[in-house]
Amino acid sequence: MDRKPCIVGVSDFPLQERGRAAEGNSELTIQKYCAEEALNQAGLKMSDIDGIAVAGMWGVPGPGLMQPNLLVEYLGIKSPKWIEGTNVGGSTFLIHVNHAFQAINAGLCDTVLVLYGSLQKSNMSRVLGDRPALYSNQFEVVSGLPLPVGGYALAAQKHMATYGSSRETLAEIAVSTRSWATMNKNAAFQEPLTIEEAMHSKPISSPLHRSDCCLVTDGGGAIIITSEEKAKNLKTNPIYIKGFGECNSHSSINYMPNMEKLEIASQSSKLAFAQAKLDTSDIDITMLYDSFTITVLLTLEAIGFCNFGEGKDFVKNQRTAPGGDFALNTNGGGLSYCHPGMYGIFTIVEATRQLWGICGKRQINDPINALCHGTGGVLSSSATLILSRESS
Amino acid sequence: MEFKKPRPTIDPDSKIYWDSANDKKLMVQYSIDTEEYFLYSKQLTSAANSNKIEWRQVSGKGEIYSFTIVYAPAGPAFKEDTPYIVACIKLDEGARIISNILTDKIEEVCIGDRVKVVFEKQNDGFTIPKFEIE
Repeated sequence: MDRKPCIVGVSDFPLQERGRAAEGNSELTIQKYCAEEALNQAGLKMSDIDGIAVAGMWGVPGPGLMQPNLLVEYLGIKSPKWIEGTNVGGSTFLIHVNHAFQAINAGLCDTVLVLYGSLQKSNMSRVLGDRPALYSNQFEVVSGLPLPVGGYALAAQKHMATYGSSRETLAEIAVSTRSWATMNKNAAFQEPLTIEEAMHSKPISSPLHRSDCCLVTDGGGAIIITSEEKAKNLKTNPIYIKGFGECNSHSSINYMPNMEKLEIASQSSKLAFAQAKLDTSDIDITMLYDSFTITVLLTLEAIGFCNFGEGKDFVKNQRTAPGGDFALNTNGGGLSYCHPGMYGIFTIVEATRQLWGICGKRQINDPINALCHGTGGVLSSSATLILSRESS
Repeated sequence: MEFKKPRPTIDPDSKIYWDSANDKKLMVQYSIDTEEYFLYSKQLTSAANSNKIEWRQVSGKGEIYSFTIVYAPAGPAFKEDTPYIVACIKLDEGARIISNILTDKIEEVCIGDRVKVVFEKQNDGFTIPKFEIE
């Protein structure tokens, strides 16, 4: 089928010390840089773009409420036929790719640019307590729950009490992720971390400590998706979108049905595997949004890489570190590489690069299929994407 | 500089909860059709298909569904309270509520602990339902 959608270009914004963008950047210059990098990689021009997807947390209140309008204007994209601005938190960009697949497959547009940029570190705009006490979130804001970390802490405590996971379990994830980051020159934290150091890092919101929490950095990324037919004439090998799924359940953590189980990830991954006609044993590299270490543990179990409650054994003895049996978050993740607020796009950037075989020291051996999973809000939204070098 | 703690933006789904707290009563919503208690959101119930919803006073007793000891406060207004506990409490009637657990022994708090409501009047006169270990 000629219209089969595939990824043909990806980029991430180069960061300086501890995840800071070079001075003189704005959220717009970051996104322009990322768009041009991805276009050049594919051998495309801005004038080839006829679909735009963008989301972020900047420029609000104000033009940031309507980011697709601002980006189309800033980049000079003429008459796009498809516009996407869904924002459900950090899983958003996987959902944008899912929707772009449907649009390209249906012939609504040919070439989609997915964009993200953030200066949250430089702007010092990220704090734990700035949220208004509105709607279903009013009770937790009045109670002083630091957000989002406190929501994830409630889920972590419940998971530990239900299944016997522990702070050591979470430390395994923090340490293995850092080991991957030592091989990513763009990672904010490249010094190795030990289990001891992770266990003794500063407590934030029990049972989560500093090493369990994602970074606060600047950053940005871009993804270009086009049809198989158009991809034939481009500079990169197409990476096929084999399956996808999405699901959400709540806004406030209080309304997560069972805090020890990320049921929406079970739902979204089930849809993705069914569409791809693949299962967990076919996946060579796994990129899970690691907003917190507990997010990874919950997601591994929910997707079915192991049974519920078995995550603690699954990640033991650095099984997910370089050289282990299970390649997980090979860019160093939101925990050690970068986390500009909505990290989901970087799961796709890294999976694509691994499938291209261009990851240098951290390249895994000849991967064919990759699974990306995004989690947004406070375990509120899920999106799964299965990518492959093979078209069928 | 004095930092004020956040107060809720009271709306039709929360007004009776906050107003009744001022009268030292804990009230939540109830679906007559599905016989389920809930507060604000219908996500944990099947009450979404019910139009017959009323407010009912509940016992104020329940257990800790989950909790966190907060060391990094939700803004400067909560700094002097650290470390403090925010918990999800499952009331005996079934509804889940997020609030604080008031205790001197924060390290001893566990999931499953029995709790009961207390009505804590704040400096500005606003009353918040909080919970103590039973």
